[in-house]
Amino acid sequence: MRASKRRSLALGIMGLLFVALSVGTWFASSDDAAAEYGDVIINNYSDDAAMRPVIFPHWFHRIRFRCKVCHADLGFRFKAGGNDINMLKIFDGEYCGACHNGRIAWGVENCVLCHSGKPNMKTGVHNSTSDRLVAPVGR
Amino acid sequence: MTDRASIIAVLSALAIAAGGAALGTAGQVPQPAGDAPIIIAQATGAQATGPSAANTFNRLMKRPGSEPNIQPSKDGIHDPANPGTALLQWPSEAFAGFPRTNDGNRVDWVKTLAAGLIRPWTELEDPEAEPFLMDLTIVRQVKGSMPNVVYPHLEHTQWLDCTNCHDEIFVPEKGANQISMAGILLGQKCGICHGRVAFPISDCRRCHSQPKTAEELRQLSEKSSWAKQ
Amino acid sequence: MSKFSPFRSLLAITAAALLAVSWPAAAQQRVPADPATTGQKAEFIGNLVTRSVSVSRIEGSGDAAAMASLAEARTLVDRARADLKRGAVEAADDKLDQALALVNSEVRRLSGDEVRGAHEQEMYHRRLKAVNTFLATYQRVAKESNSRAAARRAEAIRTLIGKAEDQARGGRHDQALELLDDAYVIARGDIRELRQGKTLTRTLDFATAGEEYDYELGRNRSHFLLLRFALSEKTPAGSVVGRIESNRKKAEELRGAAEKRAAADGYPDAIDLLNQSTDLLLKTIRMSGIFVPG
Repeated sequence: MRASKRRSLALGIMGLLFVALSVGTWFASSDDAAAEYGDVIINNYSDDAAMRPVIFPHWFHRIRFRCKVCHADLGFRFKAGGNDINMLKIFDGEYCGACHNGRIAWGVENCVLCHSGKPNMKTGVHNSTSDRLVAPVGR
Repeated sequence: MTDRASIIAVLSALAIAAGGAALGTAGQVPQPAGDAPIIIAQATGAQATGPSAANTFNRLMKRPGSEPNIQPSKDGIHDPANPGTALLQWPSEAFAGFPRTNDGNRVDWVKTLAAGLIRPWTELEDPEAEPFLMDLTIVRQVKGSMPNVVYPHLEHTQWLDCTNCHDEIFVPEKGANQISMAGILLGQKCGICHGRVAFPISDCRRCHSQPKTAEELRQLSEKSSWAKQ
Repeated sequence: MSKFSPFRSLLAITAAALLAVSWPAAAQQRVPADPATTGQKAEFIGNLVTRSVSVSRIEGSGDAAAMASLAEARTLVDRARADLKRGAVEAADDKLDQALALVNSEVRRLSGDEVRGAHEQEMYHRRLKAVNTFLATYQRVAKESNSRAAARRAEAIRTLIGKAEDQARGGRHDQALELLDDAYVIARGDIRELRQGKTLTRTLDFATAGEEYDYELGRNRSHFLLLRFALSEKTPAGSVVGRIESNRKKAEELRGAAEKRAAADGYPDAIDLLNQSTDLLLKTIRMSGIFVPG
């Protein structure tokens, strides 16, 4: 009886610790653990523009292009939200606009395919190890 | 669901009709035109015949929401209320037939590429361009009994350009790079990709793959004995 | 979205197969118009023509033609909404595409080379740094290998970098980038020639006990984090959790003791204590259910 009490106390303390650690990143919905590995949520400007955040599926793109094409040739930095992308840049053929122009891939008229995320989500690579470390899924 | 499947079937057909230019570059992936709807049928079939989610083995040991390659409308980040969400391809469809792993996308991307199951472009304007490959292996000795780290440039140059890592992430010089597991787990150095896009840190042996020799272990233990000097 | 209907699915696949053979190559590349999709699109393109960064760009330019196009785009969106109300989805979708195309082309015209230019300039500086690194690497590696041609090759790379810098000074960052690319291709090819097929080992060498202590401290911190990671990945049984926690505390105490010894310059002892702490953490990580080799 006493042992189990101690155990639940220890568990409680650990739980509190985890909650404290995760408060900082408790921004997105709590069930985002199911997101496909590598999916990037880009919400630099979307919420403010009354648009849904963009979800970039890495897996879909790496089937079609090597990392090098976007990250070396097109200049995408290895940082979610770190490229400060807006529609001006896309119209001008930079970043996403280098392909999504109706020539290499479908164009910007398909708003709903990119702007497909739940509102108010934090920019970042979801399901990333560092995310899970700060907000463990076992909570 | 059927709506989704049928719309995707239409879109796939459109993509093929447009010479692989629409909706990505379907024409470049070695999948003949007639295959597109069949893949969808396979995926939906697997969904229907698998064990029900409520009765999986070791039910209590499973993390919530850890079902792999879930469809966008249920992944927690896509908005099911967005009409476009239903049009997106499911990872499980795309990954059908790829060599599997237990983490990340559950896909062994290196093997998938080597097997020719995907043919990602190297140049935006030249689908036939070949990547610049370099076969240079770096072995990094680490403390303790943990096997040393083997870093193969070859597999990395299949995907990346030299300038992706050098020198913003790694200085190409001996002794110039401090790498720690803590940093990697928090998304620095190797962790910029591994843990975000490339295979995550869940099996030590994927990188710590070269066991130490007896001689090495002896030398390493000597180095710690500063008191004796 | 709707109940399962094998008939509809069959119909769709048949339609898709027909489309695949009959659709012209330059077919439209947009998602099929339906009330939900086009309704959403009307909302999004409505945002684009009223409250977007594109609107600020056009309104800020004071360009009469651009303002006229924006007004036209707004009218098109209004008419598309009216079309939607009466169920003319295809017509609405077309008008929305036209509105988007108007804004798109005006914004592109107004920006001239500004957006592209800024991006190219940024790319140039990043690429210049990388190419200089590869030049230095090449020279170092060539020295190791006593390559005679190396000096000549390095000179060629340097010349290209110099030309690129000249172009960049004149604001021609696109030309500069091309020259840098040429330099980069030479450098990486030459480095590959000298390194291909080799295995290089980075051994651990510590000049002082203090250096080794710093390394051990980093390794110890890593293991604390690895334990946290292990607990988040695996959910160990309740009976193990207590032992894990007490081990973690013990490891923390050992590290505290090590830090005290290090502060008094007792590095060899401090290294010893840190090793004890790290070893204990390693055992604990294994307890949580993660396989750690070694």
